[in-house]
Amino acid sequence: MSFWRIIFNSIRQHIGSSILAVVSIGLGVALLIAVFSLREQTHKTFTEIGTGVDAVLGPKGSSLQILLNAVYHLEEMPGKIKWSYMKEVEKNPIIIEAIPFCTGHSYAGYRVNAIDRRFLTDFEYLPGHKFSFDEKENGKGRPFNAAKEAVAGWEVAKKLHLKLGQTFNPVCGTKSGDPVHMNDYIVFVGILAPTGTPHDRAIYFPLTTFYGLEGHGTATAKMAEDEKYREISGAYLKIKRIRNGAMHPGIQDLKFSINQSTDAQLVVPGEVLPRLFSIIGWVDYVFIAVSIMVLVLAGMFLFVALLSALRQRRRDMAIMRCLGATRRTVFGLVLSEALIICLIGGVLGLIFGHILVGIGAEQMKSETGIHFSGLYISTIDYLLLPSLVAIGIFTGLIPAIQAYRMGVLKNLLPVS
Amino acid sequence: MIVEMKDIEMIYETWSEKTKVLDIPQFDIDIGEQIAIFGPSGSGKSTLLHIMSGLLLPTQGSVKVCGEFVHKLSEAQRDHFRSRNIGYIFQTFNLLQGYTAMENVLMGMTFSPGKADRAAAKKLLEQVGLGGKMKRRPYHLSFGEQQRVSVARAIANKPKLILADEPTGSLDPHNSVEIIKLLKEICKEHGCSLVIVSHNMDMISFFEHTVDFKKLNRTLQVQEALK
Repeated sequence: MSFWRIIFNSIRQHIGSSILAVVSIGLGVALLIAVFSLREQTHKTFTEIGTGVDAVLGPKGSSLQILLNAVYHLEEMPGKIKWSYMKEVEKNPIIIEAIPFCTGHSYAGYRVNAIDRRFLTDFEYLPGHKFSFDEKENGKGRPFNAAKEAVAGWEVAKKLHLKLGQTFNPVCGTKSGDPVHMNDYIVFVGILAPTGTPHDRAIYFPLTTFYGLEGHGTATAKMAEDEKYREISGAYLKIKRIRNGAMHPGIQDLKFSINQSTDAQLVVPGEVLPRLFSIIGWVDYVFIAVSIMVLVLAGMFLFVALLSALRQRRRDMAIMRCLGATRRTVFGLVLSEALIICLIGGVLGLIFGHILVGIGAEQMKSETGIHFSGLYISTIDYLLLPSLVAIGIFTGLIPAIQAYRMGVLKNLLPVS
Repeated sequence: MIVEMKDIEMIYETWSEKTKVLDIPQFDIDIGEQIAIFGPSGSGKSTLLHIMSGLLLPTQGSVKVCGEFVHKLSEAQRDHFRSRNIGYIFQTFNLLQGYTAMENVLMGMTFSPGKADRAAAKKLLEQVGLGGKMKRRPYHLSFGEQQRVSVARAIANKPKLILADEPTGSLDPHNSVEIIKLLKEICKEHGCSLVIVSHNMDMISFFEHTVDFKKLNRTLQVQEALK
């Protein structure tokens, strides 16, 4: 009979408490895996998406709000800026391109943004990646060319079962109950290939369409005709690069001068994102703390279960010693039992944790447009094995020492 | 000789007193010999077996079993010695309750140097008449059957010496006779020596070579004289 067979037999003898220990360890590990995976993927994805936009020219107000609205299609834009101001900024030699946009509309819960056509043809949503309508990449149709045309992000098209040629009436606002532009029928002429960014969750139409929507009033309609009156929510700025791909240092001067003005502000995603992470960071810590507490409780439970099992199996251990098992052997048996329970719990937790992320990923993608993967390997995955070994040793050590120190004859009585 | 014991003294010490339980000047057993030691309960017979098996160290004296000076071995060495050379049978069987009859016999081989051999274990169980009950756990076996499993387990590691401590103490007369016959037969077949201790004179009568523990252990003689 092998060493492992004896261990599994021993686990079988206290199967109830062993299963409970496995489940509680698995639960703690699954929670840790899920929290770390989502945390790291959120940071990575937010940072990556942020890198697609060098800077956002937006109105005065919260820079975080501007970033969330312009890049992640969340929140509301805190105000407007003048078209003429954007044009002035665009003249700066470090600006390669400025793509103006207007936010504030929606359709079936998805944001509808008015934007310059160059967004669909020239803009890089991630470094080196432009939007595609190629059917091989799951795109369809073409960019808009006329006022009443629109392009849908991949996620929107999929969820709403959109087809080319289908029309929709945009909602003036982003909340439920906001008025609908009932007489403005916009036709879908293109569906963007998936990008794995929040752009998959938005609909885009031309700026001229935005100004001309019925119900916006004469002041807005005038914006379409005369640039002098025109206002926009903001503009994506592409900044010149220097060696090593770094942004031109002139960005600092430009930012200073824009931020000193009363007209607008310049938001650089790389500077604002850490603030976002620090705001949501405490939630991470709460989840991590809860997961660790579950693991600690599981470890304590395993410790008590092993001690109680050992008390019941003192005679078994004494018999084994009588048959020739050394003190080291029984020490190893008890310690290995703790390690195996920890490892089984850990492996189940690992699988369950990744499944949990996989299931949550779909929901989170439809909520935020950010792509999460259940297969993502986070830091905790690498730390899992040594951590579980440590828990196993920690919980199994005292029962193993007790088994080591146990007297043979005392526990074999009565013998005659 | 399979057992050579000389000037054995065993003294149990507590904080308040010392009790001498064994005082044996000389005790030897030949290879292949089958010997029964009889004496009253509590006279130190089990202690003698514990010393022979290396489970206990004598306070004084020399113990040579199967060619090894047991009293000079470390605890771990005595554990290995036991796994190689000794088969132990208890009055209360001491079977592992969570294991089947087959697994109990395999356990007897597990800690010995050879590999646990399922076919050999099966053969042994068939030999003790439990061929059809190999997968049963001890609590599904009668006392007689449990002791048969202990006999098979004791022989499983191919020991040179089998020590049986009151092997019929928990059995009815019929099963007692059966077990004694089985033990004698199996030891003869496997070529190992047998030492059995008992207070049951009916069982002792099955042995040609018997030892009166009162005559062997001087402590008992002193106690008797004092009375």
